[in-house]
Amino acid sequence: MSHSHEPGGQSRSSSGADDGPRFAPDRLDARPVKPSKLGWNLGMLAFGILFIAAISTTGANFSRLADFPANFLNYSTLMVQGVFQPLTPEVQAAWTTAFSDMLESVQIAWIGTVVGALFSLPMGFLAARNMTPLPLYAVVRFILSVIRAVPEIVFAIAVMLPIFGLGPLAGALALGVSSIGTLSKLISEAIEGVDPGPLESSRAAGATKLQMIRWAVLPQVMPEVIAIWLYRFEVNIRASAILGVLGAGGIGSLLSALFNVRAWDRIGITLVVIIVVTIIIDQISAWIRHRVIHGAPKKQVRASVRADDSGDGPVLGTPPT
Amino acid sequence: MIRFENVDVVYPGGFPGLKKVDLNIEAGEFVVIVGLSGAGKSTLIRTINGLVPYTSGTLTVGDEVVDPSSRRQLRRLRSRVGMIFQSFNLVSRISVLSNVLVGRSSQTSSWRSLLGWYRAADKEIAFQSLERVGIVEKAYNRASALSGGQQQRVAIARVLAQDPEVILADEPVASLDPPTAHQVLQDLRRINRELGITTIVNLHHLDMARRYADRVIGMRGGEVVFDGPVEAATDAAIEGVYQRSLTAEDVAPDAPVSVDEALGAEDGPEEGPEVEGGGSAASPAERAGR
Amino acid sequence: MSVTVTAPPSAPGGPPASGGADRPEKPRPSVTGYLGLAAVVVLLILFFLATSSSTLVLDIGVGRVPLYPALGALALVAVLVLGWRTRTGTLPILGALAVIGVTWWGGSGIGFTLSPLWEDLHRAEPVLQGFLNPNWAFIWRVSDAWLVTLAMAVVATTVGCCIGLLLAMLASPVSSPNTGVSQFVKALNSVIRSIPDIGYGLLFVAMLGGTAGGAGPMAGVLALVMFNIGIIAKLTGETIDAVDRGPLEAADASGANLLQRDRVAVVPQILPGYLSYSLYVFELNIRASVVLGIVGAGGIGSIISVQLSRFAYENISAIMIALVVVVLAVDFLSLTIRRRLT
Repeated sequence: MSHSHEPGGQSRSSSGADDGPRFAPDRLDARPVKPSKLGWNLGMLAFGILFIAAISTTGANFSRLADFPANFLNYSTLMVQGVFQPLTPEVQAAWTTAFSDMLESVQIAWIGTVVGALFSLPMGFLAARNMTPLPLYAVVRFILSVIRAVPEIVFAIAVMLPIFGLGPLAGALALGVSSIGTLSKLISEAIEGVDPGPLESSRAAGATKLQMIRWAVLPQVMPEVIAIWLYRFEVNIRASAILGVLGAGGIGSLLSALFNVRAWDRIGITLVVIIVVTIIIDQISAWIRHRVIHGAPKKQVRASVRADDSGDGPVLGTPPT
Repeated sequence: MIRFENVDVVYPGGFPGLKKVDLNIEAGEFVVIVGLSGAGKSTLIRTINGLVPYTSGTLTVGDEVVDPSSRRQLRRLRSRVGMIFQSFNLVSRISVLSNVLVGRSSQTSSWRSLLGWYRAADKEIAFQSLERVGIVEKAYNRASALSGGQQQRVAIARVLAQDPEVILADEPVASLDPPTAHQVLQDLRRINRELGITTIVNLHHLDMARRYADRVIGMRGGEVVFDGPVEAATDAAIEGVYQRSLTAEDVAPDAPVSVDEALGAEDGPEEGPEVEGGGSAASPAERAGR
Repeated sequence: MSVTVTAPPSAPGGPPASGGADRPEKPRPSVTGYLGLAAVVVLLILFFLATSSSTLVLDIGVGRVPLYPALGALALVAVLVLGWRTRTGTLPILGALAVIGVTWWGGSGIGFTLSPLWEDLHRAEPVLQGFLNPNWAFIWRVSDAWLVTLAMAVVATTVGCCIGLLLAMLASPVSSPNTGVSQFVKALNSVIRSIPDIGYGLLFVAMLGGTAGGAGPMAGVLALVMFNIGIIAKLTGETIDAVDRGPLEAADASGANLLQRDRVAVVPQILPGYLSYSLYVFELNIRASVVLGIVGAGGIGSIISVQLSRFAYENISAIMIALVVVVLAVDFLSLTIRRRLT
């Protein structure tokens, strides 16, 4: 530390305080008091206690964890062997079954998303504060909260399975109903976030509510709404597996059947199919979402590095050598 | 202090940033680099601390040749070379003091940084740096709650906390209004005089360059096309750099001159003894003896 | 909705409305593009005809056509015509056609029909009867299971979010040591995320032994942890990619190493988002633990599973009502905390 300085030096450095009165060396000498962190520390302490209490409440038997690595290794080996075993007709059938069941899950998820999407757009408008009068808004918001609180399986058990029977259709409709909650909430938030300018101008031009929605709101929110729908489709693919365990078909039913008989080689095959198909669909969906929100990719100008001198961005170049 | 010998910078895309730059900057100089956008000013400054790696030639800072491929050496170099940015580059969500302590990173072990447990000595340095730029009373405010000029002064304090031998400033006042810009440049100039820190500043405005610089370097197309004391930086010389006649914007970019002069007049008596006295801080000689 | 906001045809004193020869025309989409779209429509109609399993037909005078493929074809043609009339580009129309095609594929694949809604509604009666008469006393009888569920959610959220943050930092090119690590961890995150929570539930129950073996909660916590890692790594990763690079450059310029740069320049920027995602994950965990319980991973889900096999819908109803209350309460709590964070 070579530029320590005596107190006298500080008073002169007051030349540029652009707030408060100038020439106030006393105030500059006084360092501010460190604000108390008591609230934060208490919060952390409370969380620590909560965490430890939670661990003991779960009643999780940690001694079990000791055999876990060995078990994990053992079963993983079985699964990997299953994936890489020679392609006999039976193994081929296992792959085909896994694949077609996964596709059925995708179908369930898609139909569920379409059903949810159809309802979510009007519901989204009803749940947006800037579109709907307060009483209706409050009622719709409450209904949506309840729908979001109830897990998919409840819709499946309580309503869909009895009416539509045990099958993929019941699963799709259960997903559809439970999608309405989240979709409508996200869409309503998008609507609440629209630029009020066009709204105001169309109102000033004497537009009806419907005209306002069509010409001032929808153009602004549609890309975001499509992105929300696609995102929900990704979520629904995973959720359809849950319903499958109840017997709604798709990959969930297959997985649960395979785990019942501990057919580790086929479990391995099925997991690989799930991972591959899900990642492919996620990638496609992410690409479309990006495309919808940001528009077509612009042609990169090669001389864009010229921009570095304007100082509006870090130059984190790497040596070309 | 800083010596460029035949330094070339070629960006990954093949775009040349610097062409055969030869420069020698002495310790304690206050150098202003002028030139149009895209002339290579930022590149030159960023080459010195290795944010932009040079591709050929030799760059020496202090008595060490900069090796852009050695991360360890770069970190050591950067601990001696502070940098100030156009957009301040503060972390807006944390306190001013925490921002200044970022400047102590190179002297702090990773685990201390990780937990945020800085040594008392480091905090003291941070406070003194804040005192030097005159905003110590904001130490526990969020950085985002400060005005642009105050934020840039926090950035200067962050650099001072590094205890640097060189300060690089890349368009430090481009986002500030003229009166604030002058205050920030005055701070930099004062620190340069008091602590003898070599200071290299990129500026758009010729006016400010002439007012604060010891030495002016003009750049065009990645080449140094003018290099001389501030007295030599006449309109004709700078027109040569810009390759066009000067416009009102180049020389008189600022708010009404009266504000400008009022500031100067007000600061004059204050600044005078400070520059002469020099007793308030370690002299360049002291620093050299380190 | 074809309402338009138009100005009166000709403002008084303004130029005549008809003399628009020099006015710019909205550019027409390429004809070849639309011919391609028409080809897509024809292919899709053939696909509809081939995959239709319904025997319903529609008599249109000149002949009988299968009902559902005809409706599908109508929708496709309508999209095409509407697109041409409004001079929409080919790509959005292709997207719309694709949506119709995929919906047909999904619908026919799962045998979509709404007829049970009016034919078999009565079958839901006993179930709804049970649901409408909840057994309130049951809520308190299973309070232990509730506590376990909440505790599982707390533990899993804490552990999962810590690991998720680490993986997100390693995966983002902004904060990662090098591109190799970043690519690898990114791929790992995708794999972790692609397996559904129920998959992890089944996996860990099988490996550890489920409720029957006394390891239900352990398996449940592990499954939730994996589930949380996937979500947190994805959401936080997106936040990290979007941080302001300025402070990172400043940290670099002051000689900070990677760990210090991440700590001082990245973490403060992402912290509010990260904490808010963690609370969101906590909400998800309560719902997810219900599902996991059904496959033997402990908590309230195990109770639901047992009651379900007994067809004790009045008990399930009571649990569901309590669940809604708990989720709404947690929702409200996390909303309050999130408000204070920002």
